[in-house]
Amino acid sequence: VGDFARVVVDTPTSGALSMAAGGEGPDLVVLHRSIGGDSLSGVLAVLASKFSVVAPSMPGFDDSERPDWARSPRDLAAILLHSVCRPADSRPVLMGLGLGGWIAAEMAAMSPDRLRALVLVAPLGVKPGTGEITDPFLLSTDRYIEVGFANAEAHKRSFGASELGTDSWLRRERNREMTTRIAWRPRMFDQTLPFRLPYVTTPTLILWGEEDAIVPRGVVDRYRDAILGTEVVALPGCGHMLECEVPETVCELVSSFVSKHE
Amino acid sequence: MFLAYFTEQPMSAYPEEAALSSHSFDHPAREAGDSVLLFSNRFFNPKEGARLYAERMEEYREVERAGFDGIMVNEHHNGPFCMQPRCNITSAMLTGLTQRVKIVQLGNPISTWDNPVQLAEETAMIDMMSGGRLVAGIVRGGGNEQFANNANPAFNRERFEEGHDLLVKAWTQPGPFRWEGNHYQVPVVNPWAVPLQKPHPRVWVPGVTSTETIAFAARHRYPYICLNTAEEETLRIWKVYGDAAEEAGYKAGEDLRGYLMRCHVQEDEDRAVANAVEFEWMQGEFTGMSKPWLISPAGYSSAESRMARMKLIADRDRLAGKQSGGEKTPEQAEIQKKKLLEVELERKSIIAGTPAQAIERIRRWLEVTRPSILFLWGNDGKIPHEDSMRCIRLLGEEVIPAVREIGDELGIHDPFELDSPVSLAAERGVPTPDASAWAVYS
Repeated sequence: VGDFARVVVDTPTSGALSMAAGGEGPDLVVLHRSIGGDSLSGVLAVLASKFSVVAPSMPGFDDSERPDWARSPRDLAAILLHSVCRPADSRPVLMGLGLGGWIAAEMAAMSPDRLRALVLVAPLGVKPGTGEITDPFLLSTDRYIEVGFANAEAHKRSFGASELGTDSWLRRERNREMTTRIAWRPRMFDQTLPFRLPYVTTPTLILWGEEDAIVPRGVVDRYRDAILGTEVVALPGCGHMLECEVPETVCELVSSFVSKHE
Repeated sequence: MFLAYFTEQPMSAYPEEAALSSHSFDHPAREAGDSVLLFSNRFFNPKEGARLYAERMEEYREVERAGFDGIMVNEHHNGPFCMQPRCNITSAMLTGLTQRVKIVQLGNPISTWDNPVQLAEETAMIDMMSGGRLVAGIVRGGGNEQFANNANPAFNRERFEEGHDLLVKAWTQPGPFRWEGNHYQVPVVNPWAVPLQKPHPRVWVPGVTSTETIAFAARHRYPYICLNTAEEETLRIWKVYGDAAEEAGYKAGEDLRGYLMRCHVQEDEDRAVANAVEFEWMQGEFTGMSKPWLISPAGYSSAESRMARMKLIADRDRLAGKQSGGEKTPEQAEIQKKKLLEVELERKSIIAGTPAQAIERIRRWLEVTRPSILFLWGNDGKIPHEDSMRCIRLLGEEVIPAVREIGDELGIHDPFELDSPVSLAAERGVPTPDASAWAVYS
């Protein structure tokens, strides 16, 4: 990402954790999707105009080392909580997308007091009352990304196909492997998370595209019902990849939500 | 030479045009042509299934009568290409159906088992019921099997190796004992069924190009069975195996080399070639038409192994001028199958002809790659039952005796002839590792 600096911190049991940091304003931690940080470059640049942004590569994804012992998103949440939301840090706004949203919710359920606000963008992690979360493993990574877009132009603008054997292919495969290690069974949700979410006292905003073909509305409803006072913004005409389709809108919504919760 | 018979037990009575097209009820991830995992089982006809099982039983009896040394059984899920969803069931049935042949499992997909102790129990039963005729091969299971059994592909290899140790320990060490490993935790291991063969049934490992699996077999001194690999690839595998054996401190002999080849014979060459098109019945993909990310999901093998596999598929498809996906008519599919067979006959990767022609080709294969264990994959697809029976008889009457002589002439001897140790650990008297070897994260 343009003006971002690469920062690497060492962790006790997950090796080197790599993150991009840049911008000015209130602290904002952004957790990427299961496909890794590829979808974030545009939105991070916009967010950096209003926030001091830290975007870690989650353990086992992109540039961060893999904790071989990790078996669930909750394990990654524990590592990240103790790495980017420490008690000594000023309470950051925590924003997560897709799998990153699931992990952000886990972190908030563990330590709500360490966060100023929680923003979940089309999060995975809970079983919907109705509908099903799309199984990413039955689709190629390229197709999974494509399905995430309601707007074909935005897809074309943001992503190209990854050729077999290239660095980009290897990185996406590594990200897919890490997702497999932690979220294969049950597929992309945790049966116990809904029973831990009511402990989240952090102000919470959920952004969701009405044309989302990955995360059905039932997931959003389950989060809303479990976390008291959750605000939900459903964006018409948008798909799963909101940060690529409407980066400015995402930034505006996060910014105004945060200013309401000084 | 150890000579055994194999068929996938295909569910050949399914409507091929249904697999070639897409349907309103299809799973959203399925495309026209996909014939495994997501191809709806509404097209499975159990009446035809019953007929086909009965025909296979008759064929297996004929295999023993014809003089084969063994019958190879396997296991696959969610597709018409194989009617054996549990190889222990076919094996158990063979204990009663046959009296002499070895029952060779290639094999039980141990990574997909949540409790390998049950596998130890079932295989011990089969070994006792067969009077010690079991060869208990293990496999990782193809990518699709991980989906069908909901087994995490990223832990497949770890589960394979840990599951193997638990299996061998359950076979050989008196219980009760406790197994607290990485992927398996069994508080009481004490199966009241143990193998008749001592120290335990032979374990053979089949595979294709996965370097890690070849090295696993070599580390344990288990025969590696190359599944229909090309000549050059086969020789590369023996090199990898030989190097790993040397590292483990022994010289790999020919008793550790196995090979599965497609070999269909008829009295008349034209008829054999016409039937052999059926080896291409799934448009050339014997484990059904599927997608690379399902055949080899992320984490299932190293990135290098996975890329090698994908390149092989792409290479073969290009040679046959095959388009992946998209609707096809049965006529177009037929043309494609014939083209694929032509390519294979040209490459000599399949045998279809008279017994004399088969003998000549097998001789050449033995001279070059020197396997002591040879599986003849005689029939597949929609080859009619009578032709399958004739193929088995001709293999038994003409091919097998000739191949035995060639094996003797070339000085190739199998593990039974040599009474080879069942494993390196057995040879050296090393006990199987206990769970602590695996409890890296507990």
